[in-house]
Amino acid sequence: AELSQLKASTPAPAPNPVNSQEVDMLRKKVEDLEKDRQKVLEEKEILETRVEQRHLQGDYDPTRTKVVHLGVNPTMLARQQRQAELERLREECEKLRQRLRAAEEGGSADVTASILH
Amino acid sequence: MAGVLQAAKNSITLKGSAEIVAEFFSYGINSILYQRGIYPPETFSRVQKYGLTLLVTTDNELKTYLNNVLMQLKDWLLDKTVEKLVVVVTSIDTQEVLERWQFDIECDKTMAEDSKPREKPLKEINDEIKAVIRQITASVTFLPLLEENCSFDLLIYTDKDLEVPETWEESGPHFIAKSEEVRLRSFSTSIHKVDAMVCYKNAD
Repeated sequence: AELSQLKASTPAPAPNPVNSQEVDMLRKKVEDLEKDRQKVLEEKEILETRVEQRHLQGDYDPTRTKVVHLGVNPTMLARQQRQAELERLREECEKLRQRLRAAEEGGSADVTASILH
Repeated sequence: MAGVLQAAKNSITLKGSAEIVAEFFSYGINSILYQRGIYPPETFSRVQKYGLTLLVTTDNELKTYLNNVLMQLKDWLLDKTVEKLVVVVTSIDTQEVLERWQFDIECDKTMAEDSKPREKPLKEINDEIKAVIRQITASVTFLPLLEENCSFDLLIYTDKDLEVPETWEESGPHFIAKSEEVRLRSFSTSIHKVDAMVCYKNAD
């Protein structure tokens, strides 16, 4: 009699079904998060590689860094010189044209002929 | 005593480190200008440094320009506000950037002018610098020939808020459009670390 009473009132000593569910859920969640984390890490790595290449090429964060140089520098001087050369040549051409007009008027008619050779 | 001298020679102060770095750039930039034919070879003369025979310019205007930049660089090395020094090589005719020598500079922010000196043998630093310079000179093996007349410019990357003297202006970074990049060696004084790399226009 007592035994059947005991048997009737004792639940089976199996893994707690509520805890089991939670553990499964948590285990799955961890798996998902780790997959997700892996994916985000890979995406981050790809971006980092991209940024790294840009870095080698001289890229920078303009909110924290700026690039400066001496206003008067060899490249700027070279550019000026090139421009001055154009000016100088234009002036020289003008002077030569002036002298040519003089020569063309002053000279006799065969001067114009000699230009053609 | 050698011991004492040795100690002195191995103690690097912030000021001393800035000197070493600025001196490296002085020889390194001269090397690049000579190597890449930006100035005619006959305007350079030989000196001994770092156990190497190096070429430095005799052109007074150029020397003055380099001095002006490097003196300012030294200040910024002391401030620890400088991030990079870049040598930009541009074709005079087409205004195109053909080469870009970039030197990243890391400063140990904990170091101040009156901090206790770091210990690093000067010989070791010089050997590291020597290796960097040898790599610069050896780069001709992969760099395309610079056929055109070129000019150069020195850019410095600094903290955005740094107040710069009037003679200094903001500039673009002058990236190279289609480039190949090669990481070179680095050296460290234990206070400043300098990474070298070069970027050049992809020879079609």
